[in-house]
Amino acid sequence: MMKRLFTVVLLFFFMAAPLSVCFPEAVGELSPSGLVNDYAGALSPSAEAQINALLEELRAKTGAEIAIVTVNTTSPLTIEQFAVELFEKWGIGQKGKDNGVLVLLAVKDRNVRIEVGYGLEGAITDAKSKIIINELMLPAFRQGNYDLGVAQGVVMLAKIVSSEYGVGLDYKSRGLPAPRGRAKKSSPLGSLLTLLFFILIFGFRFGTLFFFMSGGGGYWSRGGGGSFGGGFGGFGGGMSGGGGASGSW
Amino acid sequence: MKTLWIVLGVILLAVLIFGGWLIGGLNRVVQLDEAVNSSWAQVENQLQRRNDLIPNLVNTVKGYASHERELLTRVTELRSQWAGAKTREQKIETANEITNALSRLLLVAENYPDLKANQNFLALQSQLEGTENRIAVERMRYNNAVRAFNTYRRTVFGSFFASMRGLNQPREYFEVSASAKEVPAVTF
Repeated sequence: MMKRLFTVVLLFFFMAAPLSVCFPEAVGELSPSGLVNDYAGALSPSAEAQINALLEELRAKTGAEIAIVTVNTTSPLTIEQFAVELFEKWGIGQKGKDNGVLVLLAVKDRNVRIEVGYGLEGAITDAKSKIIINELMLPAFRQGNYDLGVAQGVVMLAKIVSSEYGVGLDYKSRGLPAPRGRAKKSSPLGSLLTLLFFILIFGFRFGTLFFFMSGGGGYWSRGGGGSFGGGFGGFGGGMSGGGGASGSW
Repeated sequence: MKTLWIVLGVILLAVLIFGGWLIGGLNRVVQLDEAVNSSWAQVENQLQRRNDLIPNLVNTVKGYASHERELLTRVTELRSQWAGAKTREQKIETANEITNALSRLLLVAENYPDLKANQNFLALQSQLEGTENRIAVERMRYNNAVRAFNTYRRTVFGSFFASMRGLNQPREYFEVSASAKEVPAVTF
């Protein structure tokens, strides 16, 4: 009798259990290993490392998180839907401040999207995102140069965010093209040569720096699989509302 | 004597469990209801933002495509209709009509190369695209909140808690109207 009563009471309890809203599974098991996540293998390791270093510097100085993700396809979702879900699932940007940006590249689909968190919508307007995509990213992508396209886009985004926060970033020592005053068409070949030049000059120095830093312990994000220790701490829990722009080539 | 204490203890435990369940349920239904309200506020925010883009859009298009007067007037009318909409149903209906009219307008703009090249129009277009995407996102979040509330309201005990808080009505989903899904016919 008592056992029955107990069971009934327990049943009452469970029936009142909260109904959780299901999170769409479409974004799947993608989990971030760093700020740069090159699932499609579109970026070279050196470009990845340099972009990652720049974004880590930005995050350290401002708390703003710019994440780069490449996938082969966003199917069956549109790139807009995929970007919003991924952004929400990973929580890019600091909670409450929502200062996150996601640059999503769908290589096989030939689509790119810049998804901007609520907090940065004023600084990175839809129009600016569109210009960054059209002038800094698509021309390079059309030539199959994902390194350059992503690097140029990232540098401009980092510039906008860092000046929003009033801080400066170190572009040169990472072999990244310094942001220009106005977005204008540039010779991709010229920029590529500059990039290669810096990679050659600073590559070795950066390599040793890399090794030294990870030896010191603590978090050090790596885009590709590596033997370095330390894990990625995760994102800050920020949200986006669908702001930004898309483009395709 | 000992059995008396045990019995009292069990009764107390049952009361506590029951009380916890009751409070939990009442709180839950109120939280779900508020989530619906706050996500609707976000939806309205974005719809208002789109509305505010309309005058600029109409002026820009008018300069190049004055023949499309009917369409432009319609869009302007709908803007006033939005301002006058009071209930959520009215707002949803008006919003869907605006979506329809705007997509027709943008499609028609394809016929005017000078308009398409106009910098102001291009900027407006990207603003509209951005706003439409935001509306889509907030609408999805609103519908998720509505689903959570409506489902809970229909569960065995959820309905009991809901009526205790006076929340007897299911909330309406923001559904895109069937007509918006039709591809608008382009006349040359």
